[in-house]
Amino acid sequence: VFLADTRKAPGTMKLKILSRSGRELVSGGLEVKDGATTDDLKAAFAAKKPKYPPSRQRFTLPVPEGADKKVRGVALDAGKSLSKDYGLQTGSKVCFKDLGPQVPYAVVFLAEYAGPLACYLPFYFLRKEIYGDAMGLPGADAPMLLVQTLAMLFHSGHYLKRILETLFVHHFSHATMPIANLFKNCTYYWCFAAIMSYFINHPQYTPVGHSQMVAGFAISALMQLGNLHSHVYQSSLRADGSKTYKEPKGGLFRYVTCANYTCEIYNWVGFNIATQSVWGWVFALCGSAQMVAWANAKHRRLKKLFPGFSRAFKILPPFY
Amino acid sequence: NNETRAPHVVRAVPSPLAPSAQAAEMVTRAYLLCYNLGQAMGWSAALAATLRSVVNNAGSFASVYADAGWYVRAFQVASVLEVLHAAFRLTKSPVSAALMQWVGRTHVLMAVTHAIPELQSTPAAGVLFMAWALTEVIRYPTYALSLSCPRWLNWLRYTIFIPLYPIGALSEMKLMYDGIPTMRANQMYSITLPNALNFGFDYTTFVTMLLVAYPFLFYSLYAYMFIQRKKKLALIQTRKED
Repeated sequence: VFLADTRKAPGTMKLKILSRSGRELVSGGLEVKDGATTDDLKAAFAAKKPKYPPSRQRFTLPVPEGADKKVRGVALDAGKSLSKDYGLQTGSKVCFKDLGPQVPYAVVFLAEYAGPLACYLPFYFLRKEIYGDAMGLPGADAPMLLVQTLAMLFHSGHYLKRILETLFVHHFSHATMPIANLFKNCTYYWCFAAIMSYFINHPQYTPVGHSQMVAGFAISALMQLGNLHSHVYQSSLRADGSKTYKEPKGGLFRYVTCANYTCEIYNWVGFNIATQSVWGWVFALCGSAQMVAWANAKHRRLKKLFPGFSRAFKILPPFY
Repeated sequence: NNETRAPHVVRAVPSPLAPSAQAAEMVTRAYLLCYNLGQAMGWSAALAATLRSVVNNAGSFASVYADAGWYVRAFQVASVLEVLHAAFRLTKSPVSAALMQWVGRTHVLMAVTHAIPELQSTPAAGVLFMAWALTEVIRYPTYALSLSCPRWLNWLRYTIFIPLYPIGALSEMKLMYDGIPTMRANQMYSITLPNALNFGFDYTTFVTMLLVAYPFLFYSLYAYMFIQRKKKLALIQTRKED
């Protein structure tokens, strides 16, 4: 008679850790205290399998027999008690999923935002070398136009602002994200910064009229301040150090679910009105498309968390 | 390679549907059957023309484009319908995958090879046609036969990509690479500054970047195909065992 499974210390429970395909990952089960939380489970699993630090682990309750293939098991959330919140006891099964190599949010953001500075500035400060010497284009040593200088300041200022916010303002819900995101996001930001900069600082760049330029940069400046204000407000919701979601009600959030995205989108609209380049508009469009998707998800999440939640606009007053 | 998306299998069993929905289902099935049969015949003609060309030229691929080109162009461009099938949910393929597939192949075929005559007599063009024709002449019949597809044909479909896929990808890269001098000399498909929109597009640079990206794109699709192969061949095995 094989007694291994039934031997355990008092005050503890032994959970069956299964992979998606039903294979048992920890032979004999994983032992945790009766009052253990999800975090304790992750720590115990990491102790047994050092290859998977807690940020890479995701545990779910098994999907009931015969359920639709698309149904996902209930995830075990951080801070919750395994026995009280999920009814787990000795012999209970939990499914493990490897989320893949993770990287801290802050690292991703800093890489994403420092890159555009490095990609944009050379076309402005090394204009003669790049357009003239390397590419042989005429007019590369002509003085920079006002709009080109302002564009450089606005673009760089925007990303500097983002870096400072990442360091001093934001409180992130999750500690990490999959490492694939790092490469995807950096490619997006760095490439667009370089392409936009190449055309805006080009010797054959065609500037818009003076009033259009002023109007565009004015909108951009106002929106950047609005975006900063929104971020500071959002940060204040988590001033107590918690990582839960709170309902944003102050400032522009009274009218728009994702006021921070609104300001971000209109910031780039202003920038493009002032600088007028197709690639600049393409960048604004791509960013907006992504932010609209996020805004929809955020709106749905807030509606679920806070019954009766509704706002005049989701992301883009006065349209949506 | 069109292997990467979910098969063109028409929905299997019509469960209790309203009569009008059942009629729509049958029309869809009939249409897709005709489409898949048409493509199968077209690519068979292309393959026949290719083989005949190679044999008649004592093993040389130089005339393949001239001899089989009409069939390949017609049926490859016509396969844009598969993107529409996905978009209108006649098939289960994701639209983005179908679109990327079609754009990739058609770009090399029409924008590069057809537009640059010097490329047409190169071995790369001939080999590419052969690889495409061999793949399609197996793929479309599996779609047409759907659930009645014999085991050996299914095996062939999920095995023949192993040599043909890299051969196809390398041929495509060779054609683009060989075309670059002509693209640069003629400023093909390019838009230059100055203009009011401050927009420039240098096609030669685009193709160069595409060539850099190709190995990565190829790798991810090739790996995906192996995963699909494992799934599909195992499925047939268990079905047989049942």
